[in-house]
Amino acid sequence: MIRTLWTSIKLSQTYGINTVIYWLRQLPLIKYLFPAKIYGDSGLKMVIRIYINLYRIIKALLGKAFYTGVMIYLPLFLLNRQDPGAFLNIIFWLSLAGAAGNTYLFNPTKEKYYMLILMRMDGRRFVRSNYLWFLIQNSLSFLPAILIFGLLLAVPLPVLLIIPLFIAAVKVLGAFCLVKYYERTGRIISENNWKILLPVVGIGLLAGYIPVLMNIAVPVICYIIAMLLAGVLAVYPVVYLWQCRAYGRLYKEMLDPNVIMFSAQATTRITQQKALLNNIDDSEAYTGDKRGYEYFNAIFVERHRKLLTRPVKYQSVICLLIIVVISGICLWNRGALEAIGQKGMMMLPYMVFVMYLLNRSNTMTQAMFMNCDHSMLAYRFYRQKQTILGLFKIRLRTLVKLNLIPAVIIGCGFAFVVFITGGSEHPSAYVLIILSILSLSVFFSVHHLTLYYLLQPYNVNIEAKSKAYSIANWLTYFVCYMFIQLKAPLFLFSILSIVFSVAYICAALMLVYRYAPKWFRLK
Amino acid sequence: MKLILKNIQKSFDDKEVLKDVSFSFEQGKIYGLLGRNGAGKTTLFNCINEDLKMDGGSFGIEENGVNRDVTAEDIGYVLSAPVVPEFLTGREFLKFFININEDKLKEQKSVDEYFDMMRIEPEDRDRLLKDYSHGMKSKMQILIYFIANPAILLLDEPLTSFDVVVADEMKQLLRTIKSEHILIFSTHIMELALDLCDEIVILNQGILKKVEKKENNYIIDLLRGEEQ
Repeated sequence: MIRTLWTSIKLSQTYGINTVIYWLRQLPLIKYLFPAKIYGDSGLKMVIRIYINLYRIIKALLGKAFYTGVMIYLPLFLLNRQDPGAFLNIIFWLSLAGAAGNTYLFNPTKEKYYMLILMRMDGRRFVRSNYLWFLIQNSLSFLPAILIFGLLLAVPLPVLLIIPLFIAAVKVLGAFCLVKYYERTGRIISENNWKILLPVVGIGLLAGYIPVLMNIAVPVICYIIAMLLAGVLAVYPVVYLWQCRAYGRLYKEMLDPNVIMFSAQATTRITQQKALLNNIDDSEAYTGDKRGYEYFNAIFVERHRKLLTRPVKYQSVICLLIIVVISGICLWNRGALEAIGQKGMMMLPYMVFVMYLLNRSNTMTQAMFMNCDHSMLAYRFYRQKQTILGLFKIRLRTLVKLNLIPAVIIGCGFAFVVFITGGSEHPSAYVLIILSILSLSVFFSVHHLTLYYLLQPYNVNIEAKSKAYSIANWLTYFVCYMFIQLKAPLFLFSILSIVFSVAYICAALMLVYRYAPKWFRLK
Repeated sequence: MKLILKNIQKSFDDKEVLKDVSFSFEQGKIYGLLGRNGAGKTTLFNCINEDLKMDGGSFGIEENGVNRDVTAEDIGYVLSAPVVPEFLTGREFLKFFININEDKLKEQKSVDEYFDMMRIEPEDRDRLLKDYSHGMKSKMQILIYFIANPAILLLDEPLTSFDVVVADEMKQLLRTIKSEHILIFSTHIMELALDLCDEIVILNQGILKKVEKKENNYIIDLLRGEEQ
């Protein structure tokens, strides 16, 4: 048993060490300090091993302290309910919810997959050693937090010492119920199954906090009896789980990589690709007379109308409706007219985020890669400079045209609302509003396509390899979101946005012309 | 015409996959490229196709005594895992490919004639490529290179996804086009290499060399590094 436990701990550590080295080897410049042979460097690995173990211990202790502090102590502190009964009530119910939410046995992890499926370790031996280890670790790491916060709330020490044992007991009871359920029905309830988890956690939270909020006091002795009872009730499940022979079968089913999401990233990728492939709509044949790459792109757009043209139509109709409704409100209600009139002149920065959200370019570049470029980039003719730049031009034209449809409606609509609400005395203000919204639309089309062509993030296995692409996308979102907070005068903001968009578009196109032929490759 | 490789080197981290690859491939021959798993056959193809940047060395074409660089039109690379644009039908892919190459094609046939050549059934021609089987995708990939007719064809395990009848047809097809091409055929199937190829070259420990076409065991010994 100890040997099995030691083997699995070593494997988990090795996995952690290799992950650290892998990430170090991905970092710019630093990667040169870590050649591939470093995986075999036992000295360095020992150092990383020490850090990983320290990190895990600190993480467990701080994690539990954070949990106890935020979930129990803080609410009681804020409610000024610093009595042992309230503390025990919350921890009692949250522990019961945790029995379903953190079972260990029913959590499909990579470590379990490696040990039980790839290394073919015996399921029963694995559970006996690792589950016991989990219960000990979990209770021990809870102990300091429970002692600190419990003593602060004047809970008697002997009661506090029972709590970690109670937590272990309810976990055993929870695991026992799930194993029994599996043996009877053959169905596995993963602890990550939100359909089950949400109601259980919900009930735990309600039962934990409502009595505290309503000042219902249950004598401390009741909790002590309930916790001791849980301990007694857990005796049979401990024996049962110890002797159970179903683990091998259970894990074979639970850790099937096709069934379970033990690698969320890989599964998301595959799901995303399948979803994009399913969006290809060939119900109508292409009837146009285009040729070459124009023909290629026209069919792409036609086949992806569910992702491109259809959402743009919906967006346009919805924008039009919103503008009609706002205009209607303004015309019928004088109060609303004044309120909108005052705010409307300052609302242009808000449109940056709106235009970002409405732009279809990001979705289109994903579809471009998954359903088209992923395969076409394997062909050398497709990677020629003229081809890359030619197709970029065609695609950009398509994206700009598509995204301009709702932009025109929003631009004109915004100008119209500003006009009927009193707006500006200068007719040029309306022209500037329309131009700035149109330029924002073109800017986002250029921006997304440029990022895709310069930082094409995927390799041939559709794994995202470019961190720069993710960071750039995240930054775009962040900056656009920040514009919501900005209140700027209409004239100034519209002129600045037009100038910035034009300058950015010119710079982006120059960069694409220069670097896309070199960088638009499978990573 | 010859494809001449000179001192090609390629390493991944500390592992030297191609140490010093030099060879001269001649037109009119099918070369069987053999090597153990991880020997670098696909890496060599990727370097020649410029999918990977070489660490050192060069390659070019010698034509009528004149040396020149290899262009995109010179090379066709048939991958072992076929890749085709999933959103097009077979017919649309061929039509597009013929469109973009029409000024280079010497004798242009109709799309259906090309399909007939590869024995792709009429009912499959207007289906989306995403619904094609692995073997049919391979056929499409090979077909577009037959249409483009590049001087050099790199074939990475191209026949493994075909049934025996189609594989035999492909072999016949390769034999018929070999007089005007340089065909380099990577495979693990020794019998196929000995049957189809005119020359056998092995890539072993980062070095490429021609070996005699002898019985299986002789080549296996060479691949093991037990050269007599």
